[in-house]
Amino acid sequence: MLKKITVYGKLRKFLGQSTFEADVNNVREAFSFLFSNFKGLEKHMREQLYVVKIGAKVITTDLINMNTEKEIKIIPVVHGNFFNFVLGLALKYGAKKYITNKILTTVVSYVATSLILKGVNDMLAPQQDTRNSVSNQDSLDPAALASNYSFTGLTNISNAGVPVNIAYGEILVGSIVVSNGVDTVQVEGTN
Amino acid sequence: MNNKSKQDAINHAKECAPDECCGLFIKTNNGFEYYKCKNISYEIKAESFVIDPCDYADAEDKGEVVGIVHSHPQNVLEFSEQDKYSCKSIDVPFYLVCPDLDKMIVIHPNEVDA
Repeated sequence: MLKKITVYGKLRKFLGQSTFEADVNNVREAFSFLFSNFKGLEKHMREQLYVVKIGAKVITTDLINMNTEKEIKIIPVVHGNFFNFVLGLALKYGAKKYITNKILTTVVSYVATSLILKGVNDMLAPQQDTRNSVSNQDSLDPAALASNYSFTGLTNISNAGVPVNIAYGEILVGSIVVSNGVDTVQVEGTN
Repeated sequence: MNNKSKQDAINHAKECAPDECCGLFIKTNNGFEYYKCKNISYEIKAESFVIDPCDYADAEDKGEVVGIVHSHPQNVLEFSEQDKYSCKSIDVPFYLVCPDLDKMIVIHPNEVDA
């Protein structure tokens, strides 16, 4: 059954429409539907905080595989903070000592926590630069294909990290040569 | 922005003081309108705001969001760096009001140099 996916805010401008109907069962499938149909969406979404909702329920990471019959909403989170201002004000108006103390403790704990979290995150999941993994598919220029280390040959126009379509039923299609053979000499890097 | 929606925003700021209020200016078929939103910030609500996504979705279902409003209960009519950054990243003009001042200032995303 087709489910409705509604997007809000900047996402609506980026995607050019506000609602989608797709045969998805859960939030994870909804996102892979959007990511595979809109180029650059993943990078676009990484720059902004979003909340995903099904009905009145906010979907957290442990619920992304939960099957649903209802509409899926993707809503941006708008936030702002007076905080970095207070420091300036304190200097300007000679605010009371406890404010300064409060600011210092908050700043120190905030910086420390974020450094620790970043370090742990880097160790657990080194992130690939998304800009490099998506290169120009139409070009046969070797430089554009340089990120592909395991396949060789002139007719090989497939890049590493590109999704491969699965066709169900009968479909008239062209073809992409995925590999003409793997040369172990070149596995380590480009020529 | 018309005077009525501006006045609605300032009144909302007065109601919410000493916490920050937040809301949206939406453009409907009947013109501009101020839409009150809930501040769901986990931090100190007097110094930060997070618009309840449910309210954002409801507002955008009613009409196009043309501005994001929040207040500074400290009566400092100036955008903080974080406000400017949010304005840039959400790509919608930010409006700022104060409970005790009868003024409203605005910043557009293209005025922010990130």
